[in-house]
Amino acid sequence: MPNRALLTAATGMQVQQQNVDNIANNLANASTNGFKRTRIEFQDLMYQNMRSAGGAANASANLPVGLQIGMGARSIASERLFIQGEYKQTENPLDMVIEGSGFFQVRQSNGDLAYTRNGSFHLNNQGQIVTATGEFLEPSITVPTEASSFTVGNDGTVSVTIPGQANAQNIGQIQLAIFANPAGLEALGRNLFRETGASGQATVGSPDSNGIGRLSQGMVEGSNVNVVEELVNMISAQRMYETNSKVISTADRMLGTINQAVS
Amino acid sequence: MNYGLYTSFLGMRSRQRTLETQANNIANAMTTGYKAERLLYRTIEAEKKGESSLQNLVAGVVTSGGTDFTAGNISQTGRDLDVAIEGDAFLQIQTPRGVRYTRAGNLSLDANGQLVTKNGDLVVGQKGAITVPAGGELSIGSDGSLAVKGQKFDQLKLVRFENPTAALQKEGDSLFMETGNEKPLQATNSQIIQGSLEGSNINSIQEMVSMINNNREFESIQKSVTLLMNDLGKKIAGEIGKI
Repeated sequence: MPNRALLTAATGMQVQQQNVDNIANNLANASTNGFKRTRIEFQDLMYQNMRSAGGAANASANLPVGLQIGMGARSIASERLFIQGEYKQTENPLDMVIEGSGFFQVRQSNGDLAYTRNGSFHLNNQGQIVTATGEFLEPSITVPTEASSFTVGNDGTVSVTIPGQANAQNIGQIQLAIFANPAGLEALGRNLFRETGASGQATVGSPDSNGIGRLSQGMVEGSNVNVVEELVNMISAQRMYETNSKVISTADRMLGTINQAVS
Repeated sequence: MNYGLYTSFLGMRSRQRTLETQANNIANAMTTGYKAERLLYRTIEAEKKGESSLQNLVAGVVTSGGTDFTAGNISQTGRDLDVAIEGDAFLQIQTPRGVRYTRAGNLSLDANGQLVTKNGDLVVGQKGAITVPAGGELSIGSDGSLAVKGQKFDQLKLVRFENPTAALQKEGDSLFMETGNEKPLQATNSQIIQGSLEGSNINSIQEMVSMINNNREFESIQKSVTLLMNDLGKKIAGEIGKI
């Protein structure tokens, strides 16, 4: 029945709707530091086998091809693309980027760890390093009030110079986390990600070792959204939405034709 | 038996199936590695009523399907775990239901570092399941060789079929299963392109044109049904009139 074509086209419209929803979120976050864009991935749905290929056509021959009618498409995943974003120089000593893979670890107010690529940090009123939304950098680092300069080495070593002291004082080391499958992390909003069963457990280590990226101070990582690419994707999603709606009107016309024949 | 009506019925039914297939193709126009489904019409003949070939009328049309395995467009994504296949090869996938094949190279790693599809099924290498060593970026060579930090540890298993249309049928989830018509062969002349994906091979303009055409054919056949019904009605009325 053309009914099936109606339902199939509806699945096509639904996936394009989700595609546009996702593009909208990517575009809205085009200027969000450390944002990683997502892409919707599609798969075909199951097939109705009307005739099986390889079935017996007669005693001596098999059917070379069968007849399969597909049921449409679905969105299977929103794949987060951990491709490096653009670096922007800010000269702010509390801005850091990770060159390579790895995440900053931050402690949320509920005590749980979260992970972020946004290396734009601040100091709170105690001198502790926090994110813009107040999550503490883990392991916690407190900058003495009297410190005149703040330096982060490539390996995450944090040192400060204090007026009147000849040598810089080491006040801690930033540790980064890597995951077997970063795409399996769950986005929490606020630029944060949470570990899941799909991401695997965090492996924590010093920057610039064991495959963990190195730190660079005075820069932030922008989003990896390519606005032109998103706009092109949006246009093609819209066109595919229209094409699917044409299938619906065609199926409707066929049903109308049948009704005419009967009357 | 009125052959005209039956022929018309078969013609209309085949156009309906064609529309369903076109709907599925269009719905999957953005599905990675999707291959278009094409319906083939073939004629069936009426029972022979006499020696004259004129009486040996073509009675109708039925459909059989076939997958069009021509290549889709390859586009760059920049993601390490995306692979496009240039050539006729398939990736081999191990599912709990058995061995399957796919052209969708949007692969992932699971929590154990194993290379899997979006459904979590294992991608097969020369040594079985592929576990990617931690601590470096995965690079995939054009022959499917897998290396981390320049250290080769496995190679993607690539297979091909002499006649994939006969050898494979679709299972959904971007997977193909064997029909039993042919055994898989070692792939030759295929290249893996890392950081790219193969789109579907659907040409949406072509699908739209054939959909319009199909719809018009359906309407024409419906017209012939109307004519036949009128004709039949008159004949019956005429016969009754004689009595």
